[in-house]
Formats: sequence, C-alpha cells, structure tokens
Amino acid sequence: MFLDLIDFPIESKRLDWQARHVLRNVNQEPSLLVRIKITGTSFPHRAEDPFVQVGELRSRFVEIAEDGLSVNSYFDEPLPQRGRIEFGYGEQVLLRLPRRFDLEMLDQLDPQRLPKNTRFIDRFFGDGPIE
Amino acid sequence: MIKFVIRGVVNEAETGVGISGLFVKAYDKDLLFDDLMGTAYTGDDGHFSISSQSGDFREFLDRNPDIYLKVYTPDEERLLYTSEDAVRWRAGEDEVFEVRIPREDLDDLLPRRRVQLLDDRGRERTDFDVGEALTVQIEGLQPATAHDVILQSEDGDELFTSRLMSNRDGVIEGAVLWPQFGLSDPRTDEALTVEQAQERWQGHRLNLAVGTGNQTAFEHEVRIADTFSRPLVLGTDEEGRVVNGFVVNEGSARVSGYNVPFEGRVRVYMVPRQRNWRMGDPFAPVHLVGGRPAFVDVEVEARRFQAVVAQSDELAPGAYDFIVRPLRYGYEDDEVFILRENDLVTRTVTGLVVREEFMASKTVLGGCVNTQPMSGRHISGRPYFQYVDTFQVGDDVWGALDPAALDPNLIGKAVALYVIQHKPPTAWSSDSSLTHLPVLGGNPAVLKFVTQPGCINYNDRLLWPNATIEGEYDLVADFGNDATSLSAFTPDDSFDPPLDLIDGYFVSGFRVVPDPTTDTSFANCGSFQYNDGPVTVTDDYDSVTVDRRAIVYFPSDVAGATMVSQISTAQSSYPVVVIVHGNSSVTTSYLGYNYLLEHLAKSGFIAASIHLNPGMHGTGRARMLFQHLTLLNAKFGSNAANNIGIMGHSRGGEAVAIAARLNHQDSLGHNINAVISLAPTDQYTSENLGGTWATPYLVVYGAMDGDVAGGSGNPWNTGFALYDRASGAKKSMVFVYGATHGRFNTVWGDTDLYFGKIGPTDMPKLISADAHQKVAKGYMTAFFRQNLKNETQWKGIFRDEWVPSAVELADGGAVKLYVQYEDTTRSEVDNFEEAHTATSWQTSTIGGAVTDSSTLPANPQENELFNLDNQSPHDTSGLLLRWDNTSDELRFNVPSAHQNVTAYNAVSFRITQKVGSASNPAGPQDLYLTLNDTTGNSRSIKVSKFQEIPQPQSRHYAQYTKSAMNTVRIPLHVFIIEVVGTDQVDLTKIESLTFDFGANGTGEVEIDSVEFTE
Repeated sequence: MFLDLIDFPIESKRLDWQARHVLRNVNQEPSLLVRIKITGTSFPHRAEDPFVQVGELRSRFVEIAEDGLSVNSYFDEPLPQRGRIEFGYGEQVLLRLPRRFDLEMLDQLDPQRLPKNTRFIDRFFGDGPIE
Repeated sequence: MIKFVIRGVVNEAETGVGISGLFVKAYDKDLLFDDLMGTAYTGDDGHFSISSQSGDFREFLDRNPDIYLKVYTPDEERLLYTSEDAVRWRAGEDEVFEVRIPREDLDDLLPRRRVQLLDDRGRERTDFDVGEALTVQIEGLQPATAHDVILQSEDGDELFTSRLMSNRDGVIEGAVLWPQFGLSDPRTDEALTVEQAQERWQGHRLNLAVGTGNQTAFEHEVRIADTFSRPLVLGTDEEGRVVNGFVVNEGSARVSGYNVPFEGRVRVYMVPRQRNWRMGDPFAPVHLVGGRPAFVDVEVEARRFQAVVAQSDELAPGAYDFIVRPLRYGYEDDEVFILRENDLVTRTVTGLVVREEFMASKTVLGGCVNTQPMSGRHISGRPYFQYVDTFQVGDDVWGALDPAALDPNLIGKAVALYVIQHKPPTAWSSDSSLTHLPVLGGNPAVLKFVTQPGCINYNDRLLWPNATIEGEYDLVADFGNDATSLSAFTPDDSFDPPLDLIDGYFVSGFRVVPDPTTDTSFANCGSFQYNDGPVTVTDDYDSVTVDRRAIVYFPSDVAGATMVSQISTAQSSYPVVVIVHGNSSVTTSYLGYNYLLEHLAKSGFIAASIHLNPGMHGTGRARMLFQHLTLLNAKFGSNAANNIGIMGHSRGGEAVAIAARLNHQDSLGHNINAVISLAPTDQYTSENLGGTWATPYLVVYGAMDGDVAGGSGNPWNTGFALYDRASGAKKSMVFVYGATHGRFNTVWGDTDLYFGKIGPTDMPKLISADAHQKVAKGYMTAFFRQNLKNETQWKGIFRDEWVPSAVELADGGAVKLYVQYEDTTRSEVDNFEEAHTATSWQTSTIGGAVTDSSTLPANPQENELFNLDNQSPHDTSGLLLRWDNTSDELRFNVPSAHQNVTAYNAVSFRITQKVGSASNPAGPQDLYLTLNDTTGNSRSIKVSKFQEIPQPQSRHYAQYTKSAMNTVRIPLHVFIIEVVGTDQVDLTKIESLTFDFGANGTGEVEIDSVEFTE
C-alpha cells in the first residue's frame, strides 16, 4: 500500500550496523572475513540475492537471520576507510544506513591467535596465510 | 401455344454407334391425315432434335400429339426405319427416342471402321513375330464407350479379352493388347521358350473381335508370320523363357537375342529404362552394386546369343532396358553412347524390372494409398488455410483439398469428405467401408462439393464445428462414382485407393485432444509428507544443513490414500516429478504447489515438492533434489521409474538447470528427461543447459514478476538468459503477460507485489492467482506428459500453435502469453553470433549476403541485444533495425547448398518490438515474410496470420519493461498450397527470404534465430 510513494533507498535512524573480524570456512579453508551486521528492520528473503555494499565495495555474501531481524554481510576484500553502507537485493538498493562505515569501528581479531592456515585479504595483516 | 421437343439418337443396332447425316421426320398420328411436326438431320454422334408448336398440328379436340418417327437416308429417298406401328400416344412436351437400325440396313451409311495392327514403332503391320508387342488402333466406334476386344484362336477359343475405352471421337488409340506376343499361352498361363512359342504360333491366323456387351461390332484377322525373321532381344531364363522381372537378389540379368542381324562379337548394355527409344537417344550403362558398368561382350552364333549382364548380387532395384551393339574391332573402349539405327533395344516392354521386396516394407493392401494433409484451420485472407493435425476439444475442424496437390483428373470432380475414426492399415485391409462420425449425422450427412481449381480457398470446408469428442480421426476424400456434378454424384461409402485420398491411414489424420490443464487419467491420488531428518549439503558459498522434508502425491485407485502401498496398480511404474521451490522467509514454501502436485499425480506421475531452508542458493537446492530422489526411490521402489522431470521456481528454477549438469558431472545416474524453470533466477552459475546434459527445457516467466524482474546487469537476471543459453535439446519459453512471481505458489501469494518493483499502474494488469495456477498446470503437465510419457499430442502447445483452453479462458480471456521455441532440427540462416562489426550484419551465419537494398533509413546493427537495447532481457546476439517506409525490406540470400528446405516444416524467427521506440504502433507490429525461389517465384505471408508481434507489456517502473522476443513460425506448406493471385514457391530452390515491411509504414524491432526448422 502506497509503496509507490516511497523513494528508495530508505534511510532510517532505526537502522544500525556493527563490524568485526570473523573466521568462516570458505572452500574448506579458514578465512578471515569482515562481517557487517545490520539491524533495525525486518529483512525478507527474496529470489534475488541480498547484498550489502560499503561505498563501491559489495559483500561476498549475505545471510539473513532466521528471525529476519538482522543480516550478516561478509567481505573478503579490503574495506574502505569510510563509506556509506547500503542494503538491497539483486541490483536494487533498498536501505541506506544513516551512520557511515568507519574502519576504526571494526572489532579486530588477534592475528596471533588465528589458525596458521587462515586465508585473508586484509590491509591490516597483508595478503596470504598467517605465518 | 405449347412447344413440343422430340429428340433422340439413331444408332447402329449391333454396336450402338451413332449414325450421322440421317434424315428424321416426326409425325402426329391422326384419323385421316398425319401431321408432320418437324424434321432434322442427325449430328456426328447420331443425335437429333425437333421442335414443334401445338398450332402446327393441333386439330379439333387434339390436345397432345401422338408421335411416330421416320428415318431416311441422307438424300431423303430411302426409308430406313419407321415407328408408325409403335406410336407414342398423347406424348409429353419433351419426348426422347432411341432408334436402333440393323447394320444390314445401313450399308455404306455406317461410319468408317478401321483396325490397324501396329509394331513397336507405331508402323502398320500385317503380321507379327512372337515376342513382339501386338498393338491395335481401332476407329469408327461409339465414342467414349468401353469396348471388349477379344482375341480368339482359329478354332474360336478365346485367348483373352481386353476392355478398352474409345475416346470422344470413337477411336481406341494405339493400345498394346499382348505385350510379348506368344511367349505364353493365355489360356493356360504356360510360359514358353522363344522356340516353343514360334512352333506354337507359326503361321496361325487369329481373330480380333470388337464389341460391346454381347454384340460383336466387327472382326479383324491377326496373322502370325510363317517364318520368324525380325530381331528380338529380351530378358530370359537359361532355357529361353521370358523373364521380365523379379525381386532383388532373386535372379540375374540374363539376356537372349534372336534373329540378330549381325555376326561376331556384340556388347550388351543394361541401361535405365526409357520408353520409346529412338535413334539418336543418349544412353549410359547403369553402374551395378559393385560399381562396375553394366555391360558384357558376347559372341553371336547362328544369329543368336545369350549373356548374363549382371549377377543377382550386383543388381539394385530398378527398371532397365538392354541395348545390343556390334563391337567394332579396336573401338571397344571408345564407344559413343548414342543409339544407332542398327542397335537392338528392348522397346515396348521393359527389359527387366528388379523389384524391391514389396510387402516386407509396405503394409498397404493393394500396395498403394494416397495420403495427403487435409485437416486444418481456415485463415481469413491469404494464405487462407493452414494444415493442422491437433485440435483441442471445442475447436473447429476444417478440411481442404489443395488443387495444387490433387491429380488433375480430380479437379472438377464431386467429392465427399468423411470424418471417420482412425484405424490402422491392417484394419483397412479387412474393411474399407467409411462411416462418417455419428455425431456429424453419419453417412447421409457427409459433406459434398465439386473440387475447384485455382485456390485452396475454394476447396476448404468446415467439417466439424466445436469438435467435442476426444480421439484420433482420419479424413477421407471419397470420389465415389467419379462424377463431375453433385447431381450425378454418388459417394460409395468406401475408401478405394488410388482414386480416393486419405489424411491418415498410417498415423491418424488429426486428433482431438483434451485440455492438459483439466485432463487427468486417474480419478484419485494419494498424498503424504515425510521428514527423514537433516542432511548437510554444499551450497554456492558454504555448506548447509537441511531437513529432508517433502510432500508427495501419487496416483491411487482409492480416495484419501496416504501410503505408498496404495499407489495405483494401473501401471507397474510411474515417472517421477520433483519440484524445487525458491527463496522465501517462510519455511512452508514447498507446500505452495499442492494444486500442481495433485494434478500431476492424477496425470500419472509421482510428484513431490521438497523443503529447502530460507537463504539457500542454487547449488545447495540442486544437491537437496538428489537427496530426495534417493529417498523417493527408496520409498516407492520399482513403482518409481528412473524417468524424471524436475521443476524449479525462482532460485529453484536456476537450481534445476544446475542439477541437470551435476547429475551428469557427478555421474549420479538419474534419467532427467525434462527440466522446467519457473520465473528462475540467473545469478549463481550462469548455467548453460546444453552439451552432454542437454535436456528438453521449458521456461515459464511472468511479465509482471515483482522479484526476478531484471532491469539491470548484463544480461539481466531472468529466465530469458537461461533460455537463450540452453542448447542441444528442444526448448520453449512461455512469457505470460500479467503474471507475477509469487502467485504461482499459494504460500507466497502476493509477496512480490510489495518488493518495490510493481507500481500502482501495474496492478490492473495482473492476472489472478487462479490464472497463474492454470498456466502452471496446463503448460507444465503437458511438458512432462510429452517428455516423460512420450505423448506427442502436446508439442503444438510449445510451438504456440494452440493454448490450453482453460488458460485461454482464465480471467475472462484476459491471459496473453507469448512463446519462444527452438527445435533441434533446423537450418540456421542467421543467428547473428559472428564477430560484430558495423558491417557484419551484411553476411549471414550460413554465408549468404544480407541486404536492405538501400531501403532502410539506417544500417541495421548486429550485436549482443543487451548492448543494442538496455530494455532487452536476452543473452544472445541479434539484429536491431528500423524502417520508415512500406517499401523497405531486409533480404537474406540463401547459398545454393542450403536452398532445398523440404526437410523442414516451418520458417521461423524471433522478434520483439523495441521498447520505447516511437516507430512502433500502439499495439501489435506486423510485417511480411517472403520466400523467393530461383525461378523468380515468390510468396509473401503476413506474419500476423500466424503470430503476434506484441506491444511490450509496460511496467510502472520503466526499467522492468522488456524487449522480449517471441518466436514466429510460418509453416512452409503455406508457400506451396495453391492460393489465387500468388506464386507457388519451389521449396527445393529457395534463393532468399525477405522481411518486407509493407504492413506498417514504420517500425523498430530486434530479430534473431532466422531459420528453417522442423
């Protein structure tokens, strides 16, 4: 109802994000990724894959929580220092977060405590597995 | 004043031959003086006519004349006949007389009669040798009458009788009575050697009697030579008995020569059969199976020879003659193959016929049946008629006799068209009677007309309006008593080849089929759900753990069945269909296709819909499909055939294409024989359903999809790209105007209406959930029935030849859908895939020149369609072109090696209006497709007679409006049926095909896949 009156992307103060390092197995190898979690609305599943983008950089994949109240987006490329965070499906941007991404806000893992064969592409640790 | 007509014919009594030039007087018999009513001379055929007014003869109280005739010689002197003793009292106004005068009274008034005996070359003969063809020509007979020509021995025994027809001039022209005179005795069928025949017939005098009925008109003597001196060459056995033919591999080509007029060595050639050899005719020995030319050299001794030109294993089926030529020393290998005056040749009778095994390969009683298409639909305007062999219940069945396909003797003849139940050739063998369908009124109501030349439009008739009874039928054209008018016509209620024609016989001529949307073969079905616990499968980004949960429907013999053991016993096994749903926040998506599962089960499938977790991608869904196939096989055992169809919706639609590949790459052994993608994504693996896992493929997609809507990326993420990339198997795509994403799934419903891609102006265009379900049931059931149950009657649906009626009628007839189709049998003219340059459009895929003859306002552009048009959803190259004049055209020349297109049934191309082009009309676009042959003949067919080039369905958010191609198929037979005012095109010599833009003055379209196809 009245959907056509909405100008996408929606920018709402209720939307927020958190960013942190996480380990995920990608292709059966531990990989260090950046996870940006977005909350503040209900996220439906759709046919088209959801995405999160920081500036020009788009997430590698996104998982919508079972209850639909949050999404976890995963990045395996270096994130910009700062940038606008947006969420959408396919090529369609639907949400824009009012608080911009700031790399300083990233909760980092201790590289010394990661598995030896962890793969990552991160500007803080340099490329390649941890020695 | 009353006018009286007295007419009739004067014949020779014995033969019925009309006598011309006689003087006829008609009298009115009176008490004192007879009145002369009139006179006339008989015409060429003996007919006369006399008119008289009542005032000429009427006397007091005389109301009607009492007529008798007198017939005189032409000089009016001698009376030949009178009927004064047989007066026709109180005659009517039109009296007909037949006057028969004995031959003895006619003397020299009889027409000139002549019997000529002719030799092989048409020269008159007085006697004959054995082995020659006894040919007669007879003049002076009753015109257009069957005559018995009887050959009798000297003692009056009948040797044989031939019944011959005189022409309109009373002449039997050069008819062979006895092809190889004397080489057998017709009374006993005893085969004689040439020597025996000479001994049997030498010096005899035979009698040739000609007559009608029991009356002999005249006789003629046939003399047999006292000595045999004329050369004779013929095929024989070793003893010298004539052998004119045998079944292949059952004899050798042995030739015997008698009375050979030269000595020494001769060469005997076996050559292709030719009628009436003449000096100067070229000839060439045939090449035998082993490759050697068919000739042999042999010595002539005592004016005779015998030679074997070819052994039995060297002979191919065919008709051959023999030519015997004396060898000139030293020139044996330098012969000129021109028939010389002194060459001997088998003439009237073919030297040797080597027959194919007949009944082994031909099941037709009598060996001959004329089949030709007749059933079809009427088209308003040219080409007036299209042959069709599948009709849906409720369709009108028309039949037509194409004058171009009729034997000329059947033009202008009365014919009755029977619609009968189809029966196989074996049934025809025992019963050739025709029974017009009782629902059409039976045989008394059979439709009759006189065939007309000039146009198929004159010979098409509505045979069965609103065909209501499913079944297979034949159409038979019964020419009955071979009459030229309906008043004289009597159908004989019997199929009598070769005069009568049939559309059917080997396979049915046409069939009336039910709507696959509503048709079922099982009254009941059972259903149950299972959950066999979790399993972990790999997905595109990660692994995922999923419950193995599904709902299953199966054919059953009882209502309410819930156990596998209650599966119907009607069949030992059933094909399996598995549905893979798409992504949704709800976990009951798999229950949204129960309407389809139930219909599939009642149509004879074990049908299951499997559960998948929210968020799963393409590969994970495909892996889960295999998990469930294993479970279904375990549950149903041998009742589940390894004959599988898969249907996926949304992400599931992409997953089923992935599954076909994985099944092959991982050697999983599932026989996946049909794949359907419903509103599929194309976002994970860019699948090419082709190569070694090519599978018959159907895509169904809605023009108002609010989720997988396209609109960005190259190519767009829609089913168009999946369809375009699929290859190696038959494929079809149904683009449904007004259809959304979610309404195909009863659990999803209208969710995609609120995803921000469907706007308020779209809402009135949406079709109902009921219509969505009918599209799914109709098209998907037909597709699985065609590909898993080999039911070929549904193929027309996927070529857009017909639409299931429930779909057509859904939402009050508001459902419009457009179909793309590609067959595996095709000859591409242009697919536009070659390296793209500014001029690459000028050369087609098959290497022909493409030209606009400088008519178009700008050069066409060949490229990826998404590069030419940002509204194109396609993943294929095509041609973008615009026209601004009705004389504009685009011509594709066909290289000589590809000009014979008779192996194909249709010319086909894909086309779309370019979204947003101001050149296109507000509605469907139209144009002509013209085929031109090398002899200068051409025919143009208006595309709208067969397919619509629709206006794209516009979307509220313009980026989602699509330049979506649909396929136009024009049957090739419409270029060869006879249509008044247009050429018939020679399909063996297609020089070019042309898009003629004469239907609309302006337009801008994209085209692809220009081809001749099955």
